[in-house]
Amino acid sequence: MATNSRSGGLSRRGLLQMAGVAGLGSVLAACGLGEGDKASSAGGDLNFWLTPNASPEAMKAFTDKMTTGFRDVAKDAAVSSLIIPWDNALTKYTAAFSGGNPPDVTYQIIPWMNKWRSTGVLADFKKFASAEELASFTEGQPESYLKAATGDNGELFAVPFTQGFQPLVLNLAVWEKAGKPPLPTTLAEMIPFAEAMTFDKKGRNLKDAGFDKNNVEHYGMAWPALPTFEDNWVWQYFWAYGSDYINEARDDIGFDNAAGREAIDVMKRLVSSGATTPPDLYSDNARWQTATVSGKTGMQWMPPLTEAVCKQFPDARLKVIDLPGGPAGKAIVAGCGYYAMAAKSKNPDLTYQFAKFLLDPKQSDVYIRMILGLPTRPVEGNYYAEPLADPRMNTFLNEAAGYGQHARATLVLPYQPQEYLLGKLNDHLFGRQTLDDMISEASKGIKQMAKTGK
Amino acid sequence: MSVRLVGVRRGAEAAGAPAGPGRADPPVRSAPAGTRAARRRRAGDLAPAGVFLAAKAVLFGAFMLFPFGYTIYLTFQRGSLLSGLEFAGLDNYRSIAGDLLFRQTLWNTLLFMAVLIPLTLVVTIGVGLLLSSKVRGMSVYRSLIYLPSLLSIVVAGLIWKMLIDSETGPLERFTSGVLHLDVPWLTDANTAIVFLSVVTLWTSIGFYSVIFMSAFNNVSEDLLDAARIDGANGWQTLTRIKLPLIKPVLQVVLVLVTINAVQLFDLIYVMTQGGPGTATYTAMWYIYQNAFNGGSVPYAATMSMVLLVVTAVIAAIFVRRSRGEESTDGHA
Amino acid sequence: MATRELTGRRPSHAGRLRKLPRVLSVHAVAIVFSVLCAAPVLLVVIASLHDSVYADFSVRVSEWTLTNYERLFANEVFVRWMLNSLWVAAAVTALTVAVDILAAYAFGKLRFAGRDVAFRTMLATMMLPFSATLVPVYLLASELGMVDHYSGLIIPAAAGPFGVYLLRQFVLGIPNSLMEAARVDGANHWWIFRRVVLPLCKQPMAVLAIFTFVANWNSFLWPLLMAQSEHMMTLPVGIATTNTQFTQNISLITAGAVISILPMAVLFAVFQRYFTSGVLAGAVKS
Repeated sequence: MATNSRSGGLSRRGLLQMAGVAGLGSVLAACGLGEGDKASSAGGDLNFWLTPNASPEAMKAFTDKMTTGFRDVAKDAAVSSLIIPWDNALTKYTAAFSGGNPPDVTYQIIPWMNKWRSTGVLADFKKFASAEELASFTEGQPESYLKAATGDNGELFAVPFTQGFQPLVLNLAVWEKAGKPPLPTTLAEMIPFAEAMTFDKKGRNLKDAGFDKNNVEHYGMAWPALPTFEDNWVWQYFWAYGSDYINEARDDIGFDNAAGREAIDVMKRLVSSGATTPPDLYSDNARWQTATVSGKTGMQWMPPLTEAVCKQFPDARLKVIDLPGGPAGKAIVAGCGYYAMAAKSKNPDLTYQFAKFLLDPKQSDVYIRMILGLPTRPVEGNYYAEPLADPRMNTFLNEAAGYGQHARATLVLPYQPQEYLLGKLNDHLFGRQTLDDMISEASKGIKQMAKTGK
Repeated sequence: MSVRLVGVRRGAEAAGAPAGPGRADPPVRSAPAGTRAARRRRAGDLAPAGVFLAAKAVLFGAFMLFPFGYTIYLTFQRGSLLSGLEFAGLDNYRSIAGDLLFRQTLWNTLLFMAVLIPLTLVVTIGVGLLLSSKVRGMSVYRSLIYLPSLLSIVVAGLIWKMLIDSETGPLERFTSGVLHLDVPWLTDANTAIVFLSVVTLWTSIGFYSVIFMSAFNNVSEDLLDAARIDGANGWQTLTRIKLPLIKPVLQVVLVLVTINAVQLFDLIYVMTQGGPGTATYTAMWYIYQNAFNGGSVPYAATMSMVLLVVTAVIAAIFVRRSRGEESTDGHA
Repeated sequence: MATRELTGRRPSHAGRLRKLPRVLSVHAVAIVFSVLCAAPVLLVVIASLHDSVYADFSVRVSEWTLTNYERLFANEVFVRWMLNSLWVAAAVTALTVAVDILAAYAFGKLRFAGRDVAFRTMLATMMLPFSATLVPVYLLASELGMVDHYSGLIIPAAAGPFGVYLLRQFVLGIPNSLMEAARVDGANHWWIFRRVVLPLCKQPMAVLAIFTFVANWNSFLWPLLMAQSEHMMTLPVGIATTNTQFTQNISLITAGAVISILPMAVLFAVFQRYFTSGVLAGAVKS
């Protein structure tokens, strides 16, 4: 023990009083001091949760606009919005839906719909909507998007309204430096293409003698080996080769076959060619997403060019390459955004009104344009005809529009294998496991998931 | 195991040995403790105990014990909290027995323990010894060494990820530029485990070192002087006198480090998300994935119980082993 | 240590000289460890002083600016997060210390049926992985209407067993004779608790308070689940919420991190003697 100073510190009485006050204080705290600025009104409160698909400022501006806009529909309604980081969203959603006070309206994606679809936590739109309204929700929607939102008894648990994908984007400066090699038309051709665009700081190409792999100026391609990124493009390799990540019966992996192995082989050859970025190049997500814009890499599967990125790289010249395919054709992983209503909402009718309001093309277009996505329904003409903050954004989006015809949604499953499968694939791609070992373990893992996920 | 930790103390109480604040012996008036009075007290104490315990009982009961019990209940269920549960008997336990992935994550967890526990003990005992040496300016060093223990894991993860960034990270620049080493910080399975262990150590080095420091400070100088006169060198005084004397502290730290190693989660969450590949899929990470990111909550609960038992067994082995040694040391 | 100065042999001048290499090597090792521990934090402070999109660790003082901090403090919500963090950590601390010292007295000095079983059960829960209990705790808190209220952030956080364990060890160390004396004088339990136990447990209570405060200031997952509206978030949750892949400004985030460290550093500077008092070591010393 250190010295036991009796002189310093508090008197007994003082300490006692402090303890008493502290206890009282915390009880008072518990009763809600300072929580007063919570919106409340006679018209009812709604909670609206969504994940960030744009800068925090843009998201805030969007939710504010929706809140005020909804007052024109329901005069006294008070909507409080919450933007939850992607990393924590599913944890928070799970907890909230398990509890008695779930968010009334939520933004959802296919993998999450897989989790909610058979649990009854989401409300059925069919119970609220008139036939006419229902038609407006479902007509013209891609089948796969609706399927992910349809319950066992035909309920409609969520309405899709936006989709997006990450097209293959080329940095023209790097491409020109490489002598404008012909653009790849297949996934396999991307390997030599990436190699041609890899240079060290002394200007030597990957294939030149003396290439210094520790001082690379440009990599041919960015490949961040994290599930959050890979989830946007790994699956299309399987699809292009005529395979899938889960089998037809939904109880095992789907790539333990010639086509699946070939798809993995192409990825493996690409990431081990030396022409892709090391997986630990960047520690923050923002820089991974701008690797090609900044010129660090020649190409990448990239989310839409935002205004902030344009401002940051005023001289970057980019081009969206036509989607390279495989023996079984072309496919691009498409993300789909939904709005859903909570089954346990305290104010179901108002919730439906708000969901309907958000899904109205006038409002949903605000959201879609903010995140630079596309509507789920086919668009007449050019969706981004109006000039955006930077003309390059328009070019990007219009060049990417052709990807829409190849958009393919991730699978509708009763469990979520994607993160685990990406981990296993990376075990092989980055050299921890042979293909056979990886496939055998992944198969066991998915079987386990399928079993306990029932 | 924790039972045993407490057991250590009971002897002291019986002997009336003042620990902690009791050391400053207050004036004692005569205290005749008649057996009749004692018996009366035993019967009458239940009521006051209730008064003193009420608050904690409510809090602990509601937010620890109830969830604990609920978790045990869940292990015999299937389905989900969202859609409703049904009785599943021992199915979950049977599934675990056949779950290779869980076994693998347990193995990863053991790897972490194998690296983290010895690393933490050696370094923090060493630093504790260092801090206990009577040298001018030690309090400055102590403050600096304690600094990382004040950080949240979120911030610690942010810091270390920035340090190893391959373009701007100072640490990466140092290793590749000065040492010409290409360190695969979080991209190689083994390196990732070692690196996460080092970061974990970094976040706890101050806390444990200070505990060891005070333990070493408590070792009687007379004993050390006697040893010195007997011709013992520094290493001998450490291994023969100091370490045996601080064994109870060592035990507690060992158990705390073990719990932390088994439950290593935050840092994985912030830094690797289970990667590279599945190399840092620890048992906790797998359980978390099952409970929140898909899979089933009852299954996650069952794995938690298994993990609890594993932790308890390992901790009990550590504590019993060092207690066994203690008794052979005799007078220590 | 006092004993050393009183009884120890006073080193002669020659003795001091002989000890010089040892002292120097102690300094050298201590400096190495201090740098290893503190340098990463220092680097983050430097990064926060740059107004750049990427982390910049350059030490050219002329480039340093407080822009990031000005931006953060100009943000009303950020200030609210800080106040929430302070308030929640302080309230959890007060509640924990008050409740735990009461329970520690009961476990340490009162005899009642099931005492040891209850105490062991409490300790066993220390080993329970949090993921197992997170959902049930949330369910309960939500049933009790605590979600998005301070009560939800505070009350469940004070349920842990550690404080009781720590304080009980000290209560046990109080000589029974002291209490017997008081009993003979007709004192009741409350009087003994107030006049004997509380004053003697001042130091461990202060230590518990400090560690509880630090832990709750840094707590992340629970406040993330509990706080639903922006104005109920704590600092770590708020920082994480703005740290999305759409935030380009790393230096702003580092400034937020530094601000979250600062109160802890001040706390440490002021209460260092409690942090390093050896109370934790003392608790397990037999």
